[in-house]
Amino acid sequence: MDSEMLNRSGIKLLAPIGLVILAFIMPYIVGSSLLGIFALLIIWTILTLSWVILYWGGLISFGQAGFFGISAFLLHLMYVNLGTGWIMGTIGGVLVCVLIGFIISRLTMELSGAFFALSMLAFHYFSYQFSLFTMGDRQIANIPQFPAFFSNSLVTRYWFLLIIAIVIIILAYKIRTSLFGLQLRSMDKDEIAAESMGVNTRRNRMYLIMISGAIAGLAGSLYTSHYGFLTSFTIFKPRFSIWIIPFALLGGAKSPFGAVLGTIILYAGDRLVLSAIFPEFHGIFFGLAAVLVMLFMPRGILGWVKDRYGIEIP
Amino acid sequence: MVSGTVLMQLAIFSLSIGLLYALVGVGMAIIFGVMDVVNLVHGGIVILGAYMGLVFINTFEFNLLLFALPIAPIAFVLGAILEIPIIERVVGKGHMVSMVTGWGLLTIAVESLRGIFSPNPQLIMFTISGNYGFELIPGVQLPASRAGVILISIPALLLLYYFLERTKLGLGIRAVSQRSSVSELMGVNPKRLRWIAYGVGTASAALGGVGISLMHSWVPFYAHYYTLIAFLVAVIGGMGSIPLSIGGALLLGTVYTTTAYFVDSTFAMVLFFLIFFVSVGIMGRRRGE
Repeated sequence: MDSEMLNRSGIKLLAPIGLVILAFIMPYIVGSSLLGIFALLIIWTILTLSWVILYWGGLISFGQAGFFGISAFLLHLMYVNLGTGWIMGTIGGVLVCVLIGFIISRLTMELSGAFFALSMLAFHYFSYQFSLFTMGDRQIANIPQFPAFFSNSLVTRYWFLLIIAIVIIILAYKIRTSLFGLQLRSMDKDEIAAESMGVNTRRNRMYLIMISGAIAGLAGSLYTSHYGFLTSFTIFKPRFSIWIIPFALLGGAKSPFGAVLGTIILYAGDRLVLSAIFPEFHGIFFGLAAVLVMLFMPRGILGWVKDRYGIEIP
Repeated sequence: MVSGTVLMQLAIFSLSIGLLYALVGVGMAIIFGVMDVVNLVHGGIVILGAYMGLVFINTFEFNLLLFALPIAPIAFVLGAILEIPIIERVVGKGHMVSMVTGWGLLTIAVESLRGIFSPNPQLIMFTISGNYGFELIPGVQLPASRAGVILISIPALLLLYYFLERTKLGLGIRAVSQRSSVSELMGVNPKRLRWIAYGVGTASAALGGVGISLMHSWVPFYAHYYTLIAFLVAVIGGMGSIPLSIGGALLLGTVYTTTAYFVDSTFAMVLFFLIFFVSVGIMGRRRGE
């Protein structure tokens, strides 16, 4: 192994560790208002990853907020009716999201791109209307806190979110680099060819929607406990389905790190700069980002870096 | 037991809302047929049409439907402006690119309307020469808003049908939607027809939006909901057939109205999305096609 390769592998190992350490000591660097934004950024990252995992299998979803909100409501309902804490409530919510993912995958098994995407949007609105029908639009504050030590302060909550996000990023990376991820890649390129090479596309598609639903549901219960209250409107906000798409595509949706990068750039850019300058119109920039990325940089920043400098980030 | 007057009342309401859905959905069906693009901006144009109606009514204070006349040409031009630089670039690049672009455009439309007109619900109190409604027979009301919707949508749908079935441009549009490559050999210019078809679809969507502005209050985020309705109507009509789309839209309107009357309007929405799942699941394109 020559020195250059050693250097590269060293950088490959050191850069992520350095970033993780930086993220963990962030509370000592920035103030509490900025830390609140970072905490939300982490939840957005998890939600974006749930979208990106679907995207790897060639599926586009416009309705991740459906899973997000259902899990958040279940967290509240199980707390009130069964007295469960955050961990059990989240497990229950995530399991229900997996079940719903199974049902959705059964219903939409034969649908191609646009039909699946709009079915997911219908799922988002269906769950929103269903929650309005059953719960009304009152404000609910009976939400369990994060487990024991982590609910103490904003800093500990931030660490809790960070730990979960890192686990999810590693999980997404493992999915991407595993045999399952390779099968997803082949499904994305050409579904019929993949099927004839022996890839069980129907089963993979089912797993994909279930995994994505579970991660989106986890993000929902994190968000709710972090905020401490919910209404039908706040938890099924259209932005939870809309913004994650430019987030993922700007960074380069083929890689989990691209999704994280896009979320950091757009969300932090929005909260720190755009929404301060254009308080009424800052939502436009997410649509603009989606259109411009699609027209001029369809593979995102990481794809551009790879073309330009030959650096490939998995 | 439901009385006859209630049934007639429900029939009037079903007809008006069904015609509105038809007007919104037919444009989507035309655009999908010609360009193979699921036009996600559609709902945004619908809501834009509603706001145009609001502006025209507040500015000119017409109490007749004349204000609806300039909206269709304005929307046609807007559609052409959208199509030529943006949508034309994503035609034939696959559903992924066109969908995300459309989704981005929809977001731009919704957010700019939200910024300009505030996120609050808007409502027009529409009257026809001072009347809020007419009593057709004792117990059966025809509100002015519903009459306005019927008066806008029936001529618009007839005109659209005439345009597609009886004119040369309509023949070209049908040829392109059947097989673009062969129609090109027959001397049709698909590029030109694409923006004309897109403009026509956009104009019908904006007229549907005017109907919405008369019928019920709206907020910018209804755009997503109307994209779904337009898509559902187009799917029921087999992604291209206008008479079938209109029939499906009338059926949807009837289901919505009767459920809202007998059960609850929120439950009607829940039922609506269940219908969406089932019918898109049955009639959606097979994978790999």
